[in-house]
Amino acid sequence: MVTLQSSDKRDFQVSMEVAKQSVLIKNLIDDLGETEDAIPLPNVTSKVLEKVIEYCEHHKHDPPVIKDEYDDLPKRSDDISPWDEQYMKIDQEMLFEILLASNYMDIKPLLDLGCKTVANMIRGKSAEEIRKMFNIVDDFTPEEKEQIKKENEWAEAN
Amino acid sequence: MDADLVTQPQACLRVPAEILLEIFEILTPSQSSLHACVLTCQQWNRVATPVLWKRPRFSRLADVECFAATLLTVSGQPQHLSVHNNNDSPKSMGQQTVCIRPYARLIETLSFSTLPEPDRNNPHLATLLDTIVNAMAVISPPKITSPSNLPSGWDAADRDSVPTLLKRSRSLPRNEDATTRPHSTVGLPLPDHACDTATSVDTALIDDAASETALDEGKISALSPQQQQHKQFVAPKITNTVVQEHLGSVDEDVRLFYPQNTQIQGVSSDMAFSSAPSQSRPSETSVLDADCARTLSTPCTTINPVYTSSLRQLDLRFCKGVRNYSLQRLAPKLAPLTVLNLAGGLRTDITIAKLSQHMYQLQRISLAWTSNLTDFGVSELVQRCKMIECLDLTYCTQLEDTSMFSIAHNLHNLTALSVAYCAGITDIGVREVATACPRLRVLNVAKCLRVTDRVRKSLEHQHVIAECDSFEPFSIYRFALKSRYATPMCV
Repeated sequence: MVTLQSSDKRDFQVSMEVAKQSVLIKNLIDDLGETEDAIPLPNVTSKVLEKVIEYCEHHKHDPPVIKDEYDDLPKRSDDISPWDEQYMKIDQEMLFEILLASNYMDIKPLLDLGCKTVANMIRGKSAEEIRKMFNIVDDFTPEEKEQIKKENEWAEAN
Repeated sequence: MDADLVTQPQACLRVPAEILLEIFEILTPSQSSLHACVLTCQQWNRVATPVLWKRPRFSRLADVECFAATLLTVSGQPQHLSVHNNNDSPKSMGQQTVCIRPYARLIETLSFSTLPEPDRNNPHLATLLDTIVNAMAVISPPKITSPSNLPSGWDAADRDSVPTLLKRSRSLPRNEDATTRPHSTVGLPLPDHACDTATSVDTALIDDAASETALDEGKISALSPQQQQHKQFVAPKITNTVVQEHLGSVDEDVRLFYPQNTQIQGVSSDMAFSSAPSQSRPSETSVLDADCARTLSTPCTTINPVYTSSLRQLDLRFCKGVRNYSLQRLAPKLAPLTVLNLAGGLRTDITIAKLSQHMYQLQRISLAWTSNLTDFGVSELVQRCKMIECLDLTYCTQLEDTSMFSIAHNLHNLTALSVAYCAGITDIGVREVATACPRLRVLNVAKCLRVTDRVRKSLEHQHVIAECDSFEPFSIYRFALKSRYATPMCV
């Protein structure tokens, strides 16, 4: 068993195979050997860590992802499994927190899942709708926006 | 709830660029969504723009037109080709024609296969392709020390190479062609007077620069102060790259003026640099090439500039609007291509021969449905483009075993070949390829009436797939990858 400690000092006991899905923790354990001490994760709150562990628990028997040698195909985003889809039914703040945590802890499948989910949210929306959805501030000057619009006009239709 | 509202913009904005990049790359198939992302905010714009421009897709010719126009007009600083944009009219015009085009460096894949058929057959498409490829091409400095240059590495590298280029251009009879012939960047309407002034101003610039070089002949570092002065003389922000890019276009003028193999008399031995072959491999070999060129230099050499470009994949399948002639003219600027689809474009042997002189990096090429293609074209292609892994010759009905022999003897990396529906191919040719190419995984001989079942069986015995559906271009390549992908290849 491995103990992970969130930023708000809560300890989580997880099995080795669950913990090792995070490349960060895997490298730590491989380098330092197994330790009784809690591994601190100063960038992850307990709320988020709990959710991340839930994902790792469910996917602990997944085969390792084979890296694509021919990456000239765009990634697909319509191949999310039902469990993952259910798992991702969370509020936006949590979604981005999980993205950040999976990036920090280096859990590639979870990061991919998060990216796909966000991509699916963006798909088909206008810039205005996207800004509204994510509370993004429009920081273009009118002239800038006009120019960017003009330069990318060819892409608007499809 | 309140806390959530306060932190919400935080979490979204804390997302680092690399995650945003992943998200946008997933959105690649939906171009309109990427377009929306580009317009969302500054941060998203910076990350999404390269993704959007990496592999543009067009649904109609007007979009291509718009795309090409942007490439032509967008410079480093936001300056547009408008007539009433003149504080110092001739100079600012000159600057616009030689502007740096940031978007041009982002394009990697260019495909017109999503256009409707009438648009693909429209001759205007050739003009637009010409404009786009010309905007993307940057002349590669014929350098001795560090040869492999990407456009991004230029700023550091250009200082050394400018003198060579200047000397080179100096020895050329540029005055006559600068004034009598139209500018080479054809395509989009440029005001006639603007074009004229631009050309003459630029020629003046080169003249001056060249005479300065004459003073400092042989001293490379001594040139840079003058070069600096020049920047100020022409425009505040013009850079060495700009000068070079422009010299490139002059060179090209000359090259077009004098056909490929014409020799120009009385050219100094510095010209030998330019004769470093366009096929010069990256790194060491090209050092050797340059050395060889120097030691073997004779007073007479050909002018054959080497271009770099970010373009790697070009899909012109069934684009009959792009004529063979325009394609041949563009050949030097298409040199960095690794994937080329010319299926069903009525290409000829000469076109293929000309293209293959430049594209030594080609890995995948489709010439399917090219009924004009003969063994000559195939031989020319495989003798020069030896890196080819995937070759689609489906329905090239004139091909015979000679093609198979040249393929077998030249393409040692071949993994997939389709000669389906080629009735001229026989057992002998198939056997030759199957024994000579160790990496072969697919040799599509579907409907090859003169290939017997015995040979098909022996292919299968070698674990080479002998028949597959090849109506989708490059589908043979997918078979070679064990059909790992369900979606069709983008090219």
